[in-house]
Amino acid sequence: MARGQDASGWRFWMLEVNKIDVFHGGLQALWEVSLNVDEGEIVSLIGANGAGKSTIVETIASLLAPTSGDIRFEGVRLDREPAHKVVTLGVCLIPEERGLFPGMSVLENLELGAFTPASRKVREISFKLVYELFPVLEARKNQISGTLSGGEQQMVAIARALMSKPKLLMCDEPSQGLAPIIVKNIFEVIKRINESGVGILLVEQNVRAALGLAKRAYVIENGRVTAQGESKRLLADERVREAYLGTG
Amino acid sequence: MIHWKKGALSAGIVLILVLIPLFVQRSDIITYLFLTLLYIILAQSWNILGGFTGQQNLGHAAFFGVGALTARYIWLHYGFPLPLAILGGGLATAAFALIIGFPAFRLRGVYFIIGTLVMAEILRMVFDNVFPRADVMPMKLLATYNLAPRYYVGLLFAVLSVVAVYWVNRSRIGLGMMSIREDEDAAEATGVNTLKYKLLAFAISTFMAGLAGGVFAYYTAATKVGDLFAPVWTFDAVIIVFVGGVGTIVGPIVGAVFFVLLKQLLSLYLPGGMHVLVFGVLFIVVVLYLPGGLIGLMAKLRKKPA
Repeated sequence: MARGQDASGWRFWMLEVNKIDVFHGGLQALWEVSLNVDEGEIVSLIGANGAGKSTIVETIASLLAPTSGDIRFEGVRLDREPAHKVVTLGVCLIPEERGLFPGMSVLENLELGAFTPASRKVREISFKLVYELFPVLEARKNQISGTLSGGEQQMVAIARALMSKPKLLMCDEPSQGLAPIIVKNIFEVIKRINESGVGILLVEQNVRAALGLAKRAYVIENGRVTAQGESKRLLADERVREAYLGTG
Repeated sequence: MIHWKKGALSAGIVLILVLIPLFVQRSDIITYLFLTLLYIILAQSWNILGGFTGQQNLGHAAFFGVGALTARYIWLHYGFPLPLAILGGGLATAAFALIIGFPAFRLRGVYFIIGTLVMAEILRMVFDNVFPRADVMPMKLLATYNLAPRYYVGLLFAVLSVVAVYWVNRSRIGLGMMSIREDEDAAEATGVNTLKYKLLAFAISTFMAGLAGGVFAYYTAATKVGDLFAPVWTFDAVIIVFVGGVGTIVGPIVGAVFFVLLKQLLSLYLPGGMHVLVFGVLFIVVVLYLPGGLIGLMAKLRKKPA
């Protein structure tokens, strides 16, 4: 896959996270975490609960600030930009709790997805696209989003993120709290989104599903990257199998 | 269809309000209507920030006061024409709000509420000391004092404020404001510059509060300057918004009609100051049992009897 190039001919990844340390209050949550995502790639972060996976994506989204290291997206320092600016640059996070505006209608939630001026200009096209992806949302566009089922709320969260025209979509535990049949649906949608050219950074506790979808993955343990590489290779790795798949 | 009906209804109400002084000469009725209109402006202004944006500002009296003081001063002492004076009062208020908005919005939740409350009280005390005597209109103006022009100025700004809130509510600005009320972090994460939109809501809200102050400055024959900053201006507006229906456009209108009427009746039949107690209880009851206010109650009743 072709990578970007800066003026001096240095090749760079679409997203480069370079040795970030992050603290929650006084406690260090991440130690020198580095990772990369290329254009149009699906990369997965796997690891146990509390390992720091959510912290990583929240830091990329600029909701948290690293104390050292840097984060670059298409060469721009994300860690120096406020969270709303990160969205403008094309990086969108679907947070673990989905982050919907529960008292507002589905339509209003989607319109807020296209809040940045560039995405607002093309929102009619975006609406068509997300309604095609999730026909149920068009039928329910006037319903208050807080009254939707869990699966439908996850659809609104994904659809809202797509409305912002992201180049990189970060999904934090999209399968959480959903029935298996719906999880399968959501994963298929994520795959389709990726096929349309959007890079995906997927945080997932369902390791088998995540490694099935992503080409590459990073294993996060206690705030550090402890393994990385092709999903196939990780699936075959004995240590990974023992820790996350229960088939040592 | 419904849209068209609502428009016709609103136009009808405004037309009736325009015609009333031609047929009604009783000054108590005109005063009641004027106060209702004044409170509609003040309640709509509070609702922009407190209702739609979810930032409960308990220092609203400060902005009413700054608007009233500025408008009255440049109107009476510098000879500005009245419309310009009221507009100037609104602009001065919004400018003042933007100066204190940057530090104030570093505070979140209950700290913002306490911060704004304290700010208004400090201003009240300062102005009480700087202008200890009542500010009375010059004799020339008092001799020709007439309620009708006050009423029309009130009506004009009340209509403008409702139209402005309606427009804001349907615009992208309103969408951004409401997303902050729903979840400030999520709003930021979907691309809403939350500080910018909070400041914008604050500016619009305080500009309108300043206009309300200007309308009152034109109405009142004599006032102590400190009283323009009294907490009652804040809490009357808050009670009206919550009783009427917080975060709605019609709520502050219904609330103002109800509130002013009840206040007049209670102060007629209850010993002095007791009406405040009634409003306190009413406020608690509404917040606990009727979070949608009168608007929410009407919607519920309309659904049920079927």
